Amino acid sequence: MPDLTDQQLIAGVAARDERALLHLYDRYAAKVLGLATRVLGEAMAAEEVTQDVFLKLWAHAESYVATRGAVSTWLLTIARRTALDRLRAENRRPALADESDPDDTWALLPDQSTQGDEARWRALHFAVGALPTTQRRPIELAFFRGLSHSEIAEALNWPIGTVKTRIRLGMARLRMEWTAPDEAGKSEPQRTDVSRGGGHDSAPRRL
Amino acid sequence: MKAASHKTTLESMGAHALGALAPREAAALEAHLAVCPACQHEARAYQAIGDGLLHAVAERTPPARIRAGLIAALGERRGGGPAPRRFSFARVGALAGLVLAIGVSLGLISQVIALRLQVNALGDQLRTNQTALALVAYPGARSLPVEGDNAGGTIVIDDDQRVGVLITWGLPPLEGARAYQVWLVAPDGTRTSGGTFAVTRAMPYTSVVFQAEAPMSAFRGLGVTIEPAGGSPAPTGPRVLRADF
Repeated sequence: MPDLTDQQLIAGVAARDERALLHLYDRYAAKVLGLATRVLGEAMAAEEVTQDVFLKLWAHAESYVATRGAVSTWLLTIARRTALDRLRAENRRPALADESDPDDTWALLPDQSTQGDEARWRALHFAVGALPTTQRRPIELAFFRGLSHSEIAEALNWPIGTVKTRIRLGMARLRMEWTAPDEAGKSEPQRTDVSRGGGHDSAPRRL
Repeated sequence: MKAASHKTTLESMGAHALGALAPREAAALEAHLAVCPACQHEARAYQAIGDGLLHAVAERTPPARIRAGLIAALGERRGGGPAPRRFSFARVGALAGLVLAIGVSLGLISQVIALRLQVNALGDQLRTNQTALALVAYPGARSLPVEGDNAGGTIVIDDDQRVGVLITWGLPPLEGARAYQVWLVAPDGTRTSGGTFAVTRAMPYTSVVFQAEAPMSAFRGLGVTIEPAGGSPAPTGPRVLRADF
């Protein structure tokens, strides 16, 4: 089981193999919980959402389409939506002050020059952190709180035009600093499902 | 849907990848993307950022209880799912229609409704028990005795959490418009309401989830008093249970 790729495991889940589900859990629960915590800002709710996400995976594994992206991205998309739904259902707005990720685990990861997905995610994490606050905050509110332009404008007490401009500039900067270097020398833009070293969807990796 | 212009599409791609566009804006952008290969290329690049943000969050080590809960949930589903409600509103309605049609005695209807109420109470009990189980699994969770003249119980709290569970037995159902109210006691004696609850004869014990605006470590104890239905801003009635943290 440890040598199976993500796509093989998702096929196993679709075939009602509980071991396959638990193996995906062991592989990605930490990421799911991290994302849920980032959105909800509360440990117990994040834990409940984490369990919900894998139960949704169990219920809908057959709907995964490999051409649309990696299993991990699909799973984390479900996690983000589930967490945002929970946030809206509870009508909560976690404190805006808690926008930066306090976890310093990223600082302990291997050097950025390391090949593989983890290095890319780490690079994006730091690229976002390096954005001016005026760009980073609305981007984080949009992505980790699910707010629209108008809701962000209300939350930050900015004109809506300012919100749109700052999100555009921030994302353009990330486009230039994070996406563009990967495109250099490649004929196609970066896709998260393209086989890269260390990716579970391309080659098995022992935990 | 009118497609967005090329300029508007390019300017909105970042926001679209974040999910920040209003539905009409998103639909207009996607209508343009359907016919513009150049914009499709840019959209994929921005979508990669959106996908990357999903991954670019620090991981958190999940506690063992999440995996255990997942396994338990799988087991329930393997066994046919959670215990189904024996009587649904649709079934009660159909049974009522049957009574009108063939003249079954009113005593049978009241039995059905009573069973329905019991199932609802069991459902609420299950949710409270699940909260208690989740709290117990926290490393810092404590269970403490609750004492009263003719009643007793246990509370489960974790100092870092703002919810706790009270499990009590021996409290009689209250007559009239009255309710039991939970109070959290601060070190200076200030009482803060943790919510109200009722006791029914249908259950041998009562489980209640109580909540506070501060972690349990901010309080030194808990009390339960009898108050008017809906609760009081401060204790007015007799205390029936107490616990020291």
